[in-house]
Amino acid sequence: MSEFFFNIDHGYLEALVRGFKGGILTQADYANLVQCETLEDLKLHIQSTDYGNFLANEPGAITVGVIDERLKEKLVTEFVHIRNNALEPLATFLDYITYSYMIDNIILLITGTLHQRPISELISKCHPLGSFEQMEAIHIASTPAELYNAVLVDTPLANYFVDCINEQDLDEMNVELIRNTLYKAYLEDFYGFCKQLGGTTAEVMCEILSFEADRRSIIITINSFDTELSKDDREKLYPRCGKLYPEGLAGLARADDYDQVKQVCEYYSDYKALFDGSGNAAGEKTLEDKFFEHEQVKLNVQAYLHQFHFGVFYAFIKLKEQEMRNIIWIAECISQRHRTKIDNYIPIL
Amino acid sequence: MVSPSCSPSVHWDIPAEDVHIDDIPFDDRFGFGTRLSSVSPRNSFFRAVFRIGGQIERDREERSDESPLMPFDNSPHLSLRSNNSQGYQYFYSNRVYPHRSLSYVVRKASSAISSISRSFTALSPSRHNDSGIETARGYSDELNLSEMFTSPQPPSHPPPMEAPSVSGLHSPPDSGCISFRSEPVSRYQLIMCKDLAYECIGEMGVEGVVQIDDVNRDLSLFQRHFVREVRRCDDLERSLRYMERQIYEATPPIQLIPIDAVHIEVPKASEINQLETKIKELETRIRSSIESEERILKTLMSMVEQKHVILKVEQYLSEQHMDSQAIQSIEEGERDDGPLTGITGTFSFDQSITSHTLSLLESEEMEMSGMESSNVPLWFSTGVIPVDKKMPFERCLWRACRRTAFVRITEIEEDFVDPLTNVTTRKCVFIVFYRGDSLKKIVNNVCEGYGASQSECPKTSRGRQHYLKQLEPAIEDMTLVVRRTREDRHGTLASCAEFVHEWMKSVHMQKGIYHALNKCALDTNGFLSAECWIPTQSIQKVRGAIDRCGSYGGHLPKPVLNEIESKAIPPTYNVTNKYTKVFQDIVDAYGVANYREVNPAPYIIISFPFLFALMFGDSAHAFLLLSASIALIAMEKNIQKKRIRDEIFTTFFNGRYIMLLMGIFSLYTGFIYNDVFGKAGNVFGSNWRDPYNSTQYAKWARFLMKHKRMPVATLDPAEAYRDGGDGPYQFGLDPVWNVADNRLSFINSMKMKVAVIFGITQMTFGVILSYKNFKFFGSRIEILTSFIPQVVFLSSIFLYLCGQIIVKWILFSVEPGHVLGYEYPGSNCAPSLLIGLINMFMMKSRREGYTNDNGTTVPNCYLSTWYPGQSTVEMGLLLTALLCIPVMLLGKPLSILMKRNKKREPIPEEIALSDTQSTNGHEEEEENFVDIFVHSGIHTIEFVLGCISHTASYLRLWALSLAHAQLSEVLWHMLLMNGLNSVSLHSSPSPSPSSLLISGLVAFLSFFIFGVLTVAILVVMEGLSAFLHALRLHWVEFQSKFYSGGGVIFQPFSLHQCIENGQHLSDVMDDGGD
Repeated sequence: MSEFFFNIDHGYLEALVRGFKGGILTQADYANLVQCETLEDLKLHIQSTDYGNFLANEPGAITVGVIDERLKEKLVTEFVHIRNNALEPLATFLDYITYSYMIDNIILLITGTLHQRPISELISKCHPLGSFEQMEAIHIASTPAELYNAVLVDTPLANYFVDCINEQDLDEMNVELIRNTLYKAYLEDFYGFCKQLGGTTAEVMCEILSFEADRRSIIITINSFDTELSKDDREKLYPRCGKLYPEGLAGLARADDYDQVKQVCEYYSDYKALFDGSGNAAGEKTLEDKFFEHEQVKLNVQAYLHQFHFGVFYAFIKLKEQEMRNIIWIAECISQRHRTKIDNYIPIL
Repeated sequence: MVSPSCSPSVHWDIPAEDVHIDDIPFDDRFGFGTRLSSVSPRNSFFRAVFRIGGQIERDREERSDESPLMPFDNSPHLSLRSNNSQGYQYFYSNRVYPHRSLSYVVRKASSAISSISRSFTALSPSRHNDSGIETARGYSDELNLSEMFTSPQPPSHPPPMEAPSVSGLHSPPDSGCISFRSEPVSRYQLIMCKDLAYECIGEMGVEGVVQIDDVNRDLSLFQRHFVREVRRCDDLERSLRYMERQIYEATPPIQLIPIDAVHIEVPKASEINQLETKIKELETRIRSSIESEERILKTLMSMVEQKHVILKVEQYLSEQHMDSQAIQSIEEGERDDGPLTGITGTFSFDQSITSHTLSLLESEEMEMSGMESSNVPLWFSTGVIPVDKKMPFERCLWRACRRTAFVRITEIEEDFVDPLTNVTTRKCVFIVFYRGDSLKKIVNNVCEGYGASQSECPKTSRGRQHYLKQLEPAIEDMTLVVRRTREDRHGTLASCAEFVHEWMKSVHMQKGIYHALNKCALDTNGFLSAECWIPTQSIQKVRGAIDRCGSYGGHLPKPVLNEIESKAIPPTYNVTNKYTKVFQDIVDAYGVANYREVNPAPYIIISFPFLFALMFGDSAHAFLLLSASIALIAMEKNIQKKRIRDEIFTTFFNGRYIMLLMGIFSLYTGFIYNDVFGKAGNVFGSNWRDPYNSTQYAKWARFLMKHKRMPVATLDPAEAYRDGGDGPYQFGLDPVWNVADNRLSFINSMKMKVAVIFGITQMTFGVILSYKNFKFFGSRIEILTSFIPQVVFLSSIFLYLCGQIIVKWILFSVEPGHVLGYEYPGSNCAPSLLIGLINMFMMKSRREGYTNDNGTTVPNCYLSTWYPGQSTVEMGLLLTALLCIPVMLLGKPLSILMKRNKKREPIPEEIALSDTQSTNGHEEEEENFVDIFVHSGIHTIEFVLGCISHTASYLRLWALSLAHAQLSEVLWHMLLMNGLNSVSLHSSPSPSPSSLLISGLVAFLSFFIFGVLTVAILVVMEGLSAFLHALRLHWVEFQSKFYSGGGVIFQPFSLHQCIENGQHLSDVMDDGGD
């Protein structure tokens, strides 16, 4: 039924976001970008795409930093416009999208504070989509409990943080744990929210989010080998909303090396394919790249094949993010004259 | 040469032999030129000297001691500069004026100078005040002067330099007003020496008649030859936009001289170098000025904040009735270890403090005092924070300090302007009381996190007073510095305001030229070749342009223009002028004509307004429309000069000529329909009269008494129609119909028939135009299988119908008599054409004539045939029409098939190649044949069904006209008449003032609403709807008969277009302002 009334509230924004998606760079654009000799060339070419004149008013020589900043600015402008025009439940859905950026920002700030970096420098590195007003006061906290009580209690992340409060001190290891615990709680919450929305949104988003959850579980497992993280602790970090739950996660929890992980994933056809083609040798794509390709590109592009659902908004942000990563990658390769790896971007369309 | 006098006077001093023709770059345009120069002393009195020629040397001398930042050479604008060194100001111009306009220049200059002297007397006090700032003053004088000179002139004397702007719409400068077919265009190859290519393409751009095709399509933008130049232009544009924005945002506002898109000359290729240095220098100067101002402003702001902090703290601490002990303990906080716990208790907080803070603080303080030793000193921090961060800041401090810090916040009444973003914010002062070193750290961290600027505040009241005394003069100094910096920058901006658009124009044009050059192919010998389309009629111009730039080159080889063969389809180029452009646009909006196809635009010029008028037939509304369009046309030049970019207004403005025609035509049809605001006017006297006598009236009176309703009187034309020998009502509809009950059935019948007649005429005309197309493209087969059957089909059914309508109008009247061989009993037997047409299709047998053998009228006599042999004729026509269909359907495919068979016959006999090849070829042809067959089927069905549905579609002419008339009548009767009638009801022989007031108000209101609705609904909305329907009738019903509209438009490279396309801040700003 919901699709009959979808356009009343969300039709404009869906149309808008589909329009934005039409402006995503194509393979041909990348082929041109890769040929650029200097950043000026890059700028000139990018002007002929949907980005238009976003770099036209930059005085002086262009740097990768400036490009990055402007790209983010453009994405944020678009997102903010969508968010400002959104009605419930889309508004909440969009807020959920920003939470993941907020988590990243918090972790960035804590790590930065641990390394005694000045807060202003850290703030400038934060993703603008995930900024919140208490963000800048984060460095007053020295323990998770303080962090929770003084800073995060007002933010939407407070619920996710409850599980981390018992940690003793903020050190590198704990920060990682906090990040993963937060992500776990966030993904499960977001998953539940999408499920509750029902309809096509649930269909599309649960697919994407469960893949994201499984990806995290697998990566956590692989990265945890040869660290002091105990298996019990590790199991606690697995988001329990993916396809791996419960048997697969139990298997991952027992895994001791890469091959065992691979064995566990053999049972899942989607992941089997990803493991099969990956490797660290030259010419092969790493597992992470494979995951990105699958998630960012395949799943998110597939989201556009359905009509009347919120998944397109999520997919748009993710695709745009990937595109920005691609442009920055190419720009970095150009500016550092490191052209051998310039083709390692992940094309979207 | 300078002698002070009390009034502006003009001295003439024209040594004819002094004219330096060589020094004047504009001489070939104006014959010989004149330089204008006026020298004025610094006081309020002015004296002007005009000189012709001989001035150049002195100008140069004076220029030499100018600041190097103001390089104004070769700028064709009136430029005004100052030179303060001798206490005189020199205003002069190197503008070259046409000789004949000298008198005008003198008049203008003297009026300008007199206004200058006025304004200087007004300005002088302010100038003396800030005499310390030398640079700023000079520039500001200049600004005022330039405003004087650009002030609007009386319209009777248009400024000579703006005279060429009459050419308003910038149609291509070719002769001619509209093309019946698009102009012949041929492909040329232009080969130029690389060093001359810039000038050559530039000259082409001036002419604006050459479309340059991109031969480097496979190269991306940055791989082309002139990408470096394009990038330089881009960068210059960016700098200029930056300067433009600064000028735009400057206060007091600076007048920007609008871009002059009329005089177009190719900027020199080297000009970019000069411009680059000039502009870069100016930009860095402006930027550094802004940067330093920002720095100063930041310091100033922190100082102002500090001042507020101290004031507020002082006020706060003195207002809270603390016991002296507490004050002392605060003051000595850092070293004192006295009893402090009592202090908080003694604060009497005002209401702005949230109560929970208060209670919590108190309880916490109590707790703490119980728990901890009281020898921890009480400190406070102060600072400033933006208002919007106030709440989270307070909350965060409260949480972070575990409820042991006490925060007090008050707003500052003053607005702060952020020096970087120019955003006005409000800020508030906060004071935080806390205890202990660890808390201090936390408070500092929180402040840092929330972007609160902490400021030191002396602990003692005396210290604060002292500090304040130091601060205030410092703030004043800073403010002064800021003001000077601003004035200085304002001066710089004002002086470049005159040139920014001049430079921008040049950069836009250069960028356009380089973009065009990027489309050319570069060969290894240093020659560029451009492939271009040039209309045959403009080829002379192009050759002229090439000769011109060949002369620039000196020893370089001249560019060569060769006509080349090309299989590409040439672009469609239709000549227009400002009058016909809108009609061409209407056609192009549907689809650009194929190359050399018949262009419907010339015919639409008349048919479009006419069909519109049929739907919009009301002379009063037409008059409103007409006056609006005349007003737009009268103010055409002024409006164009303003370059209004508002979309809705531009739409109407661009359509002013079509509006004019529509107005005139509607005025005509309005008189024909005899409709003025839905009412009829009786100008010539109706031809109908009252045939009734007094007995009849008495009978009606009795009827009225008895039945309480009005009786119906029928006017029998035999008695009531007075045919006084001068024919029917002289012009248009007889006004009697306006009061008739059966008015609608009369008017509807008339309008419907008119609509059908005009519709079928237009469709037939469309079919005839298709003949012109077939003939032009030499397609005999199409004439035979498409045009002829179409005409036959159309005429055997629809033209026949039109003929019937006209014959019926002529022959059948109310009087009985012999009509076409039959006894005609009267109007009740007038044949029904509609049912007749249906019967024709159904081939139904009908009775012949209206009467029986015995002379009595048959029932349903209007269904009978009305001329001898009608059934046979109609049967024949119908069969002819039906026979046309197979001809249209099969004729073309069959003829193509036959042609192919003829060609193919010898092949199988002589060469029997491999089977696969021959079958392949066969299949391909079969496919093509199927395509052709389907196409011809579609065309046939479209035409046959189209004839019927399009005829019905033309009935919208009647329907809209009916709706319009009814709507205006409703408005008149329901609104205006009701309103005015209520007035007359209220007015008694001696009206009281209040009833007069009320009735006046009602009349006013009803007329007001009537007027608004008339304009908004009847003229604007109905006009738009009639326009839309006329558009549809032309696009669908008319053009579908002959127009394919699959061409590509001719897009010449034109420097004028480059300027128009350039991004301008003022335009952006205007759009944003809406």
